[in-house]
Amino acid sequence: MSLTAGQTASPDTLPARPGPVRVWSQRPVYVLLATGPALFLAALFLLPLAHVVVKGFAAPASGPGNYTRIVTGGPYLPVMLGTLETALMVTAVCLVLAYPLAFVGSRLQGRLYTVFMALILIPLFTSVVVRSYAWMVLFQRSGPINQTLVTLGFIESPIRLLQTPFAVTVGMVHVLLPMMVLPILTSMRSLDGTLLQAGEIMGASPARVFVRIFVPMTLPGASAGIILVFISALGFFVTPALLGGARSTMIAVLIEQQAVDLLNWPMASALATMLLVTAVLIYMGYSRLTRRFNEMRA
Amino acid sequence: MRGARIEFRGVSRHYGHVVALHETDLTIEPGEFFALLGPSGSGKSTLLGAVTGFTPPSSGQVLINGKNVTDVPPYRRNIGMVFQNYALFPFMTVFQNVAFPLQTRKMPKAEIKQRVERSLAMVRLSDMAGRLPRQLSGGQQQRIALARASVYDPPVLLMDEPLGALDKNLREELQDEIRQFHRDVGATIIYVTHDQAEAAALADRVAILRAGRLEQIGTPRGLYENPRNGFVAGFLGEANRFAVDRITDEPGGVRLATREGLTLAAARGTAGEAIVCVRPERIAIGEAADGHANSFQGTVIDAVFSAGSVRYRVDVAGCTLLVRAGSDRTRNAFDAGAPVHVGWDRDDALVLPA
Ligand SMILES: Nc1ncnc2c1ncn2[C@@H]1O[C@H](COP(=O)(O)OP(=O)(O)OP(=O)(O)O)[C@@H](O)[C@H]1O
Ligand SMILES: [Mg+2]
Repeated sequence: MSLTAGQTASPDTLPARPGPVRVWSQRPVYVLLATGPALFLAALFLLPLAHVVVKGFAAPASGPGNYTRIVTGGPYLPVMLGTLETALMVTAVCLVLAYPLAFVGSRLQGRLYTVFMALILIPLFTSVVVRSYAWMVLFQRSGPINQTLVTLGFIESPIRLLQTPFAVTVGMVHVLLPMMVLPILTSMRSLDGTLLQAGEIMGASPARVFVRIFVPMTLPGASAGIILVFISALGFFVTPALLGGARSTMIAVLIEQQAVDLLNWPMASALATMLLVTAVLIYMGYSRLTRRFNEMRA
Repeated sequence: MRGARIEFRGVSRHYGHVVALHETDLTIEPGEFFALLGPSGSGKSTLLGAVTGFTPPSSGQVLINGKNVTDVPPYRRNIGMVFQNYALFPFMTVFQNVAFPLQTRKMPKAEIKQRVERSLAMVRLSDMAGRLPRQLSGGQQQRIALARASVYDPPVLLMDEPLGALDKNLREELQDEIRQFHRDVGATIIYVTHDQAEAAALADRVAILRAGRLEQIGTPRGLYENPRNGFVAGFLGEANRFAVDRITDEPGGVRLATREGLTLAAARGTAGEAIVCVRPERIAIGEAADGHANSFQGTVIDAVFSAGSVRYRVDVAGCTLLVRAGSDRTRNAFDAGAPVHVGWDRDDALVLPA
């Protein structure tokens, strides 16, 4: 997950233990191998990115004018906050659903496990657009969800589901769930079963073993899932655009409006830069936290 | 202090068609140090699993101090266990690891602290309390595991190859500690190993398992001197074993023709018994070999010195004999290639079923 290159061994680690793994070696072969991808990234990723950042400061007048507009009024800040809120919500729902799901998956063997993995992975290979359209069909006024609720008598007439934060959350959870399940599943399957036996033979009931040993041992997987889902959710575009409409706009939708509908590229660039900086800051906070955590434990 | 009596009554374990353990009756006395010895897959862990409850028996009962625990879940059995890979919780400090079983027993904080400290002092690792397991060496980790398994005074302590992951010197050092530890805590210990020297060094009694059956139970010395069959003789200590072809009576005992073509004299033996077995230290070499009922001329293949003795391999008529002689008098006595006499008495040849 995180790079080990910068870590140093804690002072009281035994000298016999191997030191931190050197991830990057400067042997010529590796340099040669890395040149191609590095050029590719520089040309097609870093340059356009720099272009976007610069453009946010370049027009209409050079200077931080776009950022002043963002913080002093308009929909920008509320939408950014709403984006963070939605991402947080989606992450929380994913975690709550994925943990028990992964637990079940980690107990499966043989063919059942293969089926489980297929069920998790196949949605991952299906286009986000297709899946979001499918949710549009389900959420329609005349869609199956409304029909069922009316038939069962929970509601008298169809209610609005589409273009609500609820629809956006459901759609995004559906898309992002595998990203939460997979790292958690991996940590559960690699867990040494004798640790659980040790806990139990020392008098801990299965419930206590779960809370005191199983959960702490699978926390790294959960934290990897959390950061993956949260960062991905921040930049989500297709699902909120299709299911949320104008009402529950996420920042990526706003950026698209600025760029495509209003042709205000500098403002779109400034917003994109803000999103990028937010994501980077969050990731830095996360990796600092996990590193401290890792130094504290295994 | 108090160890528990452990009884197996008709305990067996099947995995589908595989019989991991045939019906077994066994009683282990309170405070006894009992070793389970056998080759890989012989059912040692399966027998332990019946005591912990992690692999419940397919039939039969397990009793601890007369109480049938067969249907009691593992966490209510009040058993201590030491695992081969230590099974220390990596995210807890040494102190937290050792405190864990006391916390599950809802002990007051002050008492927990006191007990953990006493337990760590017993394994001489008091100053490691704040460390994480990965900051300890293998031997230290296993001593912490020992402290953790005994801190709550369980009347039964199970150890499944606790020294299996350590190197030889450390193993011998820890064997001494485990013996002392057993005297200190007084618990009944069942100790699984496939190292016969370890079993002999530690245990009051040893049970030899083969393919899911108890072959023989006895003190290490009893098993060594009176093995019931060739398997036990070969498993506990070194032995020269020959397949017997024919047994005929003669004055003073029996005469054996081995499949390898040797003719040997033994004190007793009945037709149908298949193996004759001679311990290496019972074979005299050189001048000392004269005048024995069995006497052969051979050639030294090689000589290996180890603490206190020399182990020779001697070629006798195409068979390789192991001979162990005290190194004090025979130091450098015979070099490879030297012609030697070897010999042993009738009483030293054990005739056994296979
Ligand atoms: N879960 C299982 N499924 C099927 N067979 C099993 C299972 N566990 C054990 N066995 C079989 O039961 C037999 C006894 O196994 P056991 O683990 O008790 O051996 P062991 O004496 O402890 O061996 P080792 O020294 O290798 O640990 C073996 O033949 C093994 O293949
Ligand atoms: Mg085993």
